Amino acid sequence: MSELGRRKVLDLYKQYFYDLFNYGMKISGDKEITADSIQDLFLDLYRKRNLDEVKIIKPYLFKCLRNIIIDSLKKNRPLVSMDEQADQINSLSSEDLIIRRELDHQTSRRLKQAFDNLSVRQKEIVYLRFYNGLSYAEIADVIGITNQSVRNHFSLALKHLRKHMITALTLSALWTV
Amino acid sequence: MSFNHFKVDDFIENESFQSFALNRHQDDITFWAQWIKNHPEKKAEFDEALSVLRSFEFRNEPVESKVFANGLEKLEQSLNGDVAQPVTLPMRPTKNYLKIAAAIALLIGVTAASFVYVKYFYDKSNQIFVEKSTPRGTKLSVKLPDGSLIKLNGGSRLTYRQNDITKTRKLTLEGEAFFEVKRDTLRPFIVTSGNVTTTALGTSFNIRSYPSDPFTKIYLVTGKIKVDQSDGSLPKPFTLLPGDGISYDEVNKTLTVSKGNSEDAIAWKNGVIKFNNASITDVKNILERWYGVDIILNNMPSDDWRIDGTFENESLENVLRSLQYTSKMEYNFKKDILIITFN
Repeated sequence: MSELGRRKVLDLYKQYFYDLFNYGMKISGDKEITADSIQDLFLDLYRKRNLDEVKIIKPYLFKCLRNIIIDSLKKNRPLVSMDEQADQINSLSSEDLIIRRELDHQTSRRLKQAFDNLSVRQKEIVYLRFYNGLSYAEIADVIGITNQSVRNHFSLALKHLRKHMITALTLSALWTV
Repeated sequence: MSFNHFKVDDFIENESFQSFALNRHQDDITFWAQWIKNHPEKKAEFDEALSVLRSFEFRNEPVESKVFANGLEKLEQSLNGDVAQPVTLPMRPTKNYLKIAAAIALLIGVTAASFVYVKYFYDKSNQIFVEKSTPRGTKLSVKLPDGSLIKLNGGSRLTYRQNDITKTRKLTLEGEAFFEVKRDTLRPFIVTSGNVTTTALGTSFNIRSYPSDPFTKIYLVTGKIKVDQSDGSLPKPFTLLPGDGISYDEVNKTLTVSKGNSEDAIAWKNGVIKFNNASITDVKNILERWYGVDIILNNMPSDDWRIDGTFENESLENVLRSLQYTSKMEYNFKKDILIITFN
């Protein structure tokens, strides 16, 4: 079992830092926790692991980071019940959403509200799929649920958002007439 | 596998279709672009699904390079078994020059994955626009789908329509970039920079066209390029051969060809700053873009003040100290703004 060399760990840091930092911020909302967690992630990588069995690196790093951040958040909020891990993560909000269509203020607001009403899990899945291009299988691995579960969450999330987008589509069609 | 029975929801939830909609993987993009051509009867559902998937994106605040640099430094020290200590970007007085140079070289050497500021948005014709930009003080390598390589200098912006890149290879540049164009006689590579249009088939060249400079400069390293005014108003476009440089005066709208100097034109790619008969304004612009710092000049020297010099992977501190040898001036930093006062 080979250990990751110092050079390799630093290369991985340089390559994935920005994606990791953005993901970390989306789930923790905290710059310090994110930066510290990334440090821990790479030190961990160097000391204990090897990547021989990991075929695709990015989702693996995402998964590790996620776990480290959750542990970190748990420490800061010791009184929260240990139910679902998802409860700990609460950072993605409609603030992070950019609506690319030209919508009137009301419709845009409702669409953002629809996003806020998604479950934490749904939000994270939509983010991982849309922003990081992770496959359903990879997302399942990162979060620790089944592939089918990911698809279900994603499908529900999009249906929910679409209800508000359809209105938007109809409206914008009216405008272009 | 047949997708003929697909409804809007099915398209939306299909991973490959999502990849196509969001421009992730070339295979998916090619597949679905072709598929819809073969199945025009599905256009309505296809377009609606596309529209839904492209309706929103996530806002990522650009991460300050300090966070990256500090983390890297800390990680290196930890891996060395040293006690981790946060380090600020080396622009301030410090004793260890080698360490400064190495840190700056590291930052300059870091590639696309870290410093890309990529934006996707729609233009009026509802096509997807890609914008890749660099903040001042950083460089970026971009690889296009055809294999062409573009290296962006600090404070630059490259934009293109997703469609144009696969079909006709058209881009717009603001700032400075070095292009290595993959040969393709069927698809001319066209760069618009301000009022100048450069056309190439398979070649490497440098374009320098910062909005704050009155000149656009182009230098050809290999191959052949055609340079014209963007409104096609020149009686005949200029053809450049290797070693030729062209300078376009934005104010007087004139093009001048000269024997260029590769040293000067493309030294930036290798981390080398060259001042060649540079005025104080040139120096200010170059340093601002290179180090990403704002500069205020007090008591500017006379108009005929010029300087020559070459700096390779040097800290800002060292460059300033060198300048002091030739001119009496003082400099200090006030809240990340560099103030240079001449005597």
